[in-house]
Amino acid sequence: MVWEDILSTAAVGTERQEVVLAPGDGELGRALHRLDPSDREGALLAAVALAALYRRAGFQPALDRQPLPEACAADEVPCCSDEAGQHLALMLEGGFKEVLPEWLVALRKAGRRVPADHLPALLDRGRAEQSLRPLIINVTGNRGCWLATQNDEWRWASGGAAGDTWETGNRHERLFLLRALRETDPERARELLSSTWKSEVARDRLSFLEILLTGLNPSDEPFLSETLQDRSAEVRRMGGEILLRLSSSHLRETVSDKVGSLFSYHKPLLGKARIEVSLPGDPEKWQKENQVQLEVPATGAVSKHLGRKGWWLLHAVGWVPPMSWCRLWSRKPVEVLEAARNSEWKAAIIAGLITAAGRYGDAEWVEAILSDRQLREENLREANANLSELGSHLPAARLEALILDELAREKKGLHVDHPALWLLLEHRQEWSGELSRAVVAGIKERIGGGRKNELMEWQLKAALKQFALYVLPALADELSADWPADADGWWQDAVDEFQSVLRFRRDMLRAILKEGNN
Amino acid sequence: MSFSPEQIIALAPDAPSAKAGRSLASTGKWPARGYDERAVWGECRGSGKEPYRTQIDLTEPAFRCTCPSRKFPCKHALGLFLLFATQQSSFASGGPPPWVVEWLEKRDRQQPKRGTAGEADQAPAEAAPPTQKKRTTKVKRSSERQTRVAAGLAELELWMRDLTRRGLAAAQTQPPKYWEQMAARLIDAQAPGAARRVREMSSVAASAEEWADVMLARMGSLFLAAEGFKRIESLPEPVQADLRAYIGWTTKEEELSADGLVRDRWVVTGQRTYEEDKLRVQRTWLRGEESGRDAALLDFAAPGQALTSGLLTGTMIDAELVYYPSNYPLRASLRQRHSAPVPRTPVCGYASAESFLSAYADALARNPWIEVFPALFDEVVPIRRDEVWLARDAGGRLLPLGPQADGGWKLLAFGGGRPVTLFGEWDGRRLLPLGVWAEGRYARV
Repeated sequence: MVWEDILSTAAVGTERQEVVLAPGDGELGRALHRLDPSDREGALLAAVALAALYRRAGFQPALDRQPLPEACAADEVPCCSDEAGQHLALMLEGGFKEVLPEWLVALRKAGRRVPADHLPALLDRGRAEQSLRPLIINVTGNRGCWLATQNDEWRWASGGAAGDTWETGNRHERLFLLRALRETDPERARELLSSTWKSEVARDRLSFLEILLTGLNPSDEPFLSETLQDRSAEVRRMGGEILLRLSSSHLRETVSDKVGSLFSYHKPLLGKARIEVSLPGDPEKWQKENQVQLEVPATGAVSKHLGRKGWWLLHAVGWVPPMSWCRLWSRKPVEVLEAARNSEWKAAIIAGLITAAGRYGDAEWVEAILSDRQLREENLREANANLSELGSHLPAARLEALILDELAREKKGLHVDHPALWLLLEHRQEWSGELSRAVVAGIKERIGGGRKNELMEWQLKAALKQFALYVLPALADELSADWPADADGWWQDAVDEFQSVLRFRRDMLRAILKEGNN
Repeated sequence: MSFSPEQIIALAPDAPSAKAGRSLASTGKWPARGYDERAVWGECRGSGKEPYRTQIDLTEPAFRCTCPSRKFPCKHALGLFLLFATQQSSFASGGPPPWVVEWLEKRDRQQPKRGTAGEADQAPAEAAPPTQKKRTTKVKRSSERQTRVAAGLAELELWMRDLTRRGLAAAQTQPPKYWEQMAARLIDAQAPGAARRVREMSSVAASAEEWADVMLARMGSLFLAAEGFKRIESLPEPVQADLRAYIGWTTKEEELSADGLVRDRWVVTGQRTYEEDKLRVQRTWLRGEESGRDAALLDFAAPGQALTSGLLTGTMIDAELVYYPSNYPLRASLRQRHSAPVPRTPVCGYASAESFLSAYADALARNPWIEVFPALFDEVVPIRRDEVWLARDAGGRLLPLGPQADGGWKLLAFGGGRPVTLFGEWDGRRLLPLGVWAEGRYARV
């Protein structure tokens, strides 16, 4: 090889190595032959000039011995319009990125998919933000799957064979796989999990087990019951938690029965109804005897306030589906709450009822608790801790009715202590027009009001940014109009952001709903 | 006629402008907006009291905006153009307002002066025969430069001989000053092209992969130039032109002969912006549908200054070009446009890697100093194999693609494993993809 000869001489220099050219018979050879070897440097440089050109001009592309990789199957689902694609591009570049989930859901609903040119950036976003993955795989089509099979970091989007990924994938891939499979084929998912259960580490057992909450069904009971004997306390607790959610489970029945028997409802002829408790002397022993295989979390700072027994009571009440009290005593939730308030163990029982309402997602109970204004004013520490999460268990319409009710009650505008505020923060679905208008009016009133305590107002400012994601986009123009200017412009950035996010949502949803133009 | 957002975004001077443009592509930002066959205009609410007035002459496209931005096109122009491309129906059609009419008329008046239209006819008349004195000065100046360049290149040859004597391995460890000093002397000798290549060798030496190969090939080119210049008078004129262009002794645009005008339907196949000698350079590649010829248009701007060729990648225009003198003419200048741009998937590329490579070899034989060569393929399949990006032609020949991972994924996504029309720059070893067409859509890579 002429080039390699030249290269080796050039590397060490002509003062140390003579130029040895082995010219062949070709034209290059004849040209090299004409060089004067006595001028070492000149000959080498000339040879370089000739051979470099020869090499460039004679580039030989390799012949592919392998068959062409399989092409992507055609997509039946049409692409979204260019306009919608631009909205996506903007979000992938970092603008309005908190709106992306809504865009992905809307695109799926419209029966469209993401155009090929945006797929790499979208899959990269999903790599970084795992919570987006289930939404992303709905809109990437065959092209997205095909592409994802070729990049290990996108494997979660490739729809690959379940068994292989389960056995060889990393933790994230396996979590994702199990979650997806549990939605489509819950039995198969549980079988996969149980096939490797014994060899999983505790941290993974816990995470995998939690996924069984999705697609929970009676055939899961034998597997779940075994987890009650697990080596890890956290896994045992999770197993119990899931069994409680299974309405037909033996554990749930036992717990309702046995714990139920510790409480009674008393309504004296004169005076208020109250709940009476016959606390077992040694709760642990009592649990064992009654086969209540559930664990009370280790006592923390909170329990000092309740005491050891109160702490146990809180959890015991929390295990029982709250409706069973209503059935047991033929009382409505408000009546049970009222009686609990008059109990010796008031704080523990009420906190337990709130825990149970959230655990079982019992809308009727949630509504009763959230409508109970006294409850929030009483400031029961353990109870309040769980209160804010309850909103999500209520159907949107009922939550809204509750919030509107609160807003109507207190008309000074929306402020940080307003009882409606924390409910609004929990309302993470599209709001009705009525609610959107009421909230925007409340905030405008607040800004127009002038006086402010910046420390407190920060919360409201942050809330406004969140609200922009849920107010009704169809009302974008109305809701963006006529905002009062506050004197020092302290609100300006939040209001600007609210308006621009809202308009962007309106535009992007419109673009998706419009018939695609390509 | 409709442009794809990709084509418009390709006009953005930088990534922040592209993003800002996208976020301005919303009807809410443009209370007033309209269009007719020739132009698009709109008023954009800005931070100031008066709205910004933005207008686009679609025939080129050309832009004007009343905002104070130094970027060009500004985010308003990009936003308006994007909005128009995606939501034309939301624009009022009809007569332009006076401020648009005024601008368009001014443009029409200026057009001939700017040399874009009609110059071909006027040039000979305008350019009065140079007086004897002027000509003498010019010849004198030229011969002075000739002497200076010759001296500079002679020094370069000595320097390269010295480098060769001591070996590349020794050169690799030289400080940047070693290369800088030689480059500076070549600048003094009025050979900026040679100077730049010497300076670039410094970074080649510092790069890991195949540095010796690359460095050696560069030295070969420089040596060829130095040797060639010694006997430049004996070379055919077009070869002289190529040698001068390589050294950095460029022909002025005004000096181009109007004889070589080539009219064709030119597809704008790709565009690349890079820095060179503290200037931003934009190289726009065209390929004639009729002639099958390639052309490169170069635009220069100081850092931070506007840079636009006024051409949209992935579109076709009917226009006349004039080539710079060369033994294998590539560089050209746009003279007259005969049509507005229309989106187009080109069908005038190479059918196989082999036909491309034989065209490339032919070009090198005529101009050995060609560094990047345009490559438009009608049908290649982009693939990724063992983490290497490749383009595979119908016959199964593989061309390695340039090292740029993100672009590779886009290419792969776009092709879906099926043939695409691909354009890129070939540097002798790899293809750097710039644009791709599939299923009637175009994407920049």
